[in-house]
Amino acid sequence: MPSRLKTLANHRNAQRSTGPKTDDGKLASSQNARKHGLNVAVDFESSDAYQALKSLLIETGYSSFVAADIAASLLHYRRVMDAYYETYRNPEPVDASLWERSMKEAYKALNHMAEGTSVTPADSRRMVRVLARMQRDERRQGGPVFRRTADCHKLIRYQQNAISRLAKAIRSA
Amino acid sequence: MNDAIKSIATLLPKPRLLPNESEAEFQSSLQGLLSELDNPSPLNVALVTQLNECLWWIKRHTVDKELLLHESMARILSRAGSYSEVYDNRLASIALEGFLAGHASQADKQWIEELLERAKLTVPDLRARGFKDAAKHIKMADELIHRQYQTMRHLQKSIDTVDFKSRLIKRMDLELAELEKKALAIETK
Repeated sequence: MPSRLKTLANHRNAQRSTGPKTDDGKLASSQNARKHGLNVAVDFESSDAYQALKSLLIETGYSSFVAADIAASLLHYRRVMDAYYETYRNPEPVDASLWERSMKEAYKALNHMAEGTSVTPADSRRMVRVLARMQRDERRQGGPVFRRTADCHKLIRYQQNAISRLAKAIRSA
Repeated sequence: MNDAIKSIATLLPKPRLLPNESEAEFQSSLQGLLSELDNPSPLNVALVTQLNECLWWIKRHTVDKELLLHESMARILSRAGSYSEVYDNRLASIALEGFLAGHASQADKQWIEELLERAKLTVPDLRARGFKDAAKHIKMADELIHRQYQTMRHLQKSIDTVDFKSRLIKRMDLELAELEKKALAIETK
């Protein structure tokens, strides 16, 4: 068990380091809920599957309260596993055109397009630098297998919570 | 057993398979697990189905671990070959798989050897570098596999709980019936 001093230090550190700091980080985390939808609460109780599952469990000898808990937990677990499947099946797509683009060619093309306009070679260089940064970020994420592994990894905690809830509901019967 | 399977199958969404996976193989593995149940109730059948899905996820992530390494090795080779990055490296990856398994065509073998020479790497070096590049994601795949094992442990414990409970209910029913019989016998005496 950690000492009181250690616990206080942990509390202090946790308050210092919660949530994303940079604008990019905040923008990325603001889109988390839109990826798999698992942060959105779902009302299982109004679904037909829930009612039918609950009745089936009551028929097999569970009390109404326990049957309701097990039915909701089971449907929640399935929802998480379906999201897991979808994430695995459709990972974030690779932008192949950006990945394979040659920056030298891009610089030449930009300069060519800028002829006769007010865009200077320094502006083109700045644009290529931005493009190169985007390319680096794209390549850092890796190919399709890399992406689906990283995307599924983000769902571990949802699966952990769902199975713990289901096991607890069954144990309490 | 069939009634329990039918009743739960209509109510709970089924685990989905990937397009290249065999439904028959999934069902055969599920039937194997179901046949080990002493008292198949709808809840037990539902839990065993989830357990079978976990086994499939373990298989998928294990294959992915090898794919991660191949993708990473192919990327190193294509960089050495053309000095430009190609995102899926499919050709290099297929040729490399054949080369490592020892059944590559003569042309593929020559191509891989040429790429290795250009990159100044041997196969063990390439494997080591590929592993180093993909280490973070291979660790993630390991954690995904570990998660599935933990989920299976939870499911097994839940199956045991349900099994024990139904056996307990049956035993209590029998004891109750026995007591009722005895009570009836005393009354008639």
